[in-house]
Amino acid sequence: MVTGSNTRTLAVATCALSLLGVMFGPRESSAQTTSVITTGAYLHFPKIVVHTTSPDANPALAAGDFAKDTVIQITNTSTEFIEVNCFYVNANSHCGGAPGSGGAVCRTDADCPAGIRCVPGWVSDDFQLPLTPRQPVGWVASTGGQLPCFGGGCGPDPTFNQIGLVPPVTEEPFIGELRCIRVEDDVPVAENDLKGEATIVESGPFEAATDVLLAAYNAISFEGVTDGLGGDAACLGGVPDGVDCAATYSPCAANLSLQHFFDGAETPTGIVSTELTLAPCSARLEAGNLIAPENRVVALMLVYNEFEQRFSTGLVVNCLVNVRLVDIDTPIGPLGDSSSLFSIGTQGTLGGQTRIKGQSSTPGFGPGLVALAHQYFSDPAGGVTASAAYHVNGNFAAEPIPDAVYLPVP
Amino acid sequence: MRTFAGQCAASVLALGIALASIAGTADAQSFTVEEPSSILIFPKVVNTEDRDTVIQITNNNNMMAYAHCFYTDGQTLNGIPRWAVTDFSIALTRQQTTTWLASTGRPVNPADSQTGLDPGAVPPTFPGFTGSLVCVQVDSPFDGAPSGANDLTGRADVDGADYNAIGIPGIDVDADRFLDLDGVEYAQCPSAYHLNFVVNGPAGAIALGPMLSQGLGDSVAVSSTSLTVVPCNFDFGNLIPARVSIGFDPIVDEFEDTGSQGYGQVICWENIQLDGAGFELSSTFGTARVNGTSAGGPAPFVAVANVLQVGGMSGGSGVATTNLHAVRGALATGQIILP
Repeated sequence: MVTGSNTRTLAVATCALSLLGVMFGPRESSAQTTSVITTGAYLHFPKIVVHTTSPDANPALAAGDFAKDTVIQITNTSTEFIEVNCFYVNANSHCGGAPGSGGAVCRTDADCPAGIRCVPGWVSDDFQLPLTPRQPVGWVASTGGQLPCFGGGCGPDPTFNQIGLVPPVTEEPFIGELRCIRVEDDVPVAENDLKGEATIVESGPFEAATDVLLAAYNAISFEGVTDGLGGDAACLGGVPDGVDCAATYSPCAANLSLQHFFDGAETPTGIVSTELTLAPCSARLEAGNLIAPENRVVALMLVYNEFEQRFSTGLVVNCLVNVRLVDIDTPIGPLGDSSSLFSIGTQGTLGGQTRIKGQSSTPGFGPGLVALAHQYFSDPAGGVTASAAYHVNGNFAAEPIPDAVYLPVP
Repeated sequence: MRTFAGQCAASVLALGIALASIAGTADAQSFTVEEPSSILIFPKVVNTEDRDTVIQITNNNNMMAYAHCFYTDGQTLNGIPRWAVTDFSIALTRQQTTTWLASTGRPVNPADSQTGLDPGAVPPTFPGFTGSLVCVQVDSPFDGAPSGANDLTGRADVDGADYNAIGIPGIDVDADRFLDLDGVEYAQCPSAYHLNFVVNGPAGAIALGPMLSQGLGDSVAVSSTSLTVVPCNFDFGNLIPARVSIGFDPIVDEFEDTGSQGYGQVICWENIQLDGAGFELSSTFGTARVNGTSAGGPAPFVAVANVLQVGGMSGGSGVATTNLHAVRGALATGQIILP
């Protein structure tokens, strides 16, 4: 029997589904969007990884692993000397405590000694990156680098980099992100002078290093819109309620559209497995600050295969998540991979599309997400032979929900 | 009193109208590799003895989407561009992604080893094919009129090196076969790009962290960058290859030393190696502005950068492909003429 209550419930559900359909259905667009093919005032590199054979690495590389490092390039496209502030965000978890506690880097409790938990922790470390006119610079994440034009000036009308060094990442292994923002006297400005690229180089297995894998991507670039607002946050896509912005920038995508192979798909290059990196657009980047888990975004996912069949899943993104697709809805590691929604055995088609929408209820933080896909290709014996990174498409709203990046503005 | 159903309908309608009006604010749209578009350009598609290309195209809408696609062979024969064009149509159901190999295409075959809903017969390219793929969204299968619905995204994997297809959003699309990429009917293409690169050859060695267990370290011993360039004009109706002159000016190293280098004319498709005196820099990293010109004025083109790096100790090599950054405001009008 259909009761009034049931009818009401059905109506609410139908309405909610209709609204969801409208939200995820037609595409949205707007005048300003993030981009990986235009210059901007704020760059976001969502994936920086380091794990070499350095004796300081804790844990050391295991047999069969690939050593990895990231080459970062940033260029000043203007003809003026500019100042840039950069922030490495260390997204490692550690056995037994926060970063600096001495515990080994871990992904799950299973990586730690019995009885010791794998504790998430996120730390930002900043550095200044002055760039002379039109200057391209590059460095390796594991070692940092010496900036040119420090001791002696560059160019016909010599300009000097007042800061000589880019620091290395703070520990190995390292997984995290790099965010760089155009500033003047540490205050964000809406000058769209920056472009950046990252190349993840892997060599392995490290015992023999017979293969080199390259995966290159462009930094996600946010266009500066207004500045001089007097606050301490870089506001993306508008001004969030209660936030004092220093400058505003183009928004994060309202939702993301990831085209991908299902894990286990066979291509001419090899059998595919894809890692997805998701990072919230909003963040607290005060130097040395432990980023609180208040920075929490729920990533809702709709997975489509080639038969138009739709499935849904999701995960929580605290600071940064780097996960194999098949580990999104199954335990991290090989257990259950074949049962995943992202497995070719489950879907029955080579490729699919996953729509990702962020959701956040934390005051002062937005729901925006940035993403990067990183494919690995293996031979039938399981040996990794190639890798490639690519950008996740986005759909932008005319009235985006703003995000905020809190900065150590003086 | 409004009923709940009425309130719901009003909410859905309001949201729909809002989104429709958003879709209408297309005047500020520009070429993209992120957002769905009405034209997709894959500048680099190869099917050679040792390399193949995986093409993936997605319909981002909840309605059917159709596309008219054109493979163009960019090779030259005795210095004359072949400009051999092969076209086909695909139909994608709502939110459907489809995938095929350049070497095999995707025949409509119930016993297809590539399971999934066939989008229509996609022909294979011939062995040795080196060129581009352009897909134009149309309003119906087979000879449909151009559509500005902006539903398509794409990406390509060339032997383990991925790039996003370059999208040209439709703005105010009419039904004729002349697709004007002029910022009115469709977005314009860039006429200049910023290209970051690692200096070619041993000068581009990068000291990575230690990568070998023996503590010997490893590094990138040799870097090599090339640029795949396609003019943003395609005359599929008259089979006339387009031309664009490419120059690199300025080329700047990390010490602000500047130089320049011309390349010459690209007819139809070309892979340009970044070598020559202009690219011999005194630093590891460099940047160049890549300019397209024709008849003395800016000319539209699209490009992707290809990076090859070789490990010093291992001798192993890896490849990557990236999209380029366009110079702000440097846009030029192109045209696609359909058959």
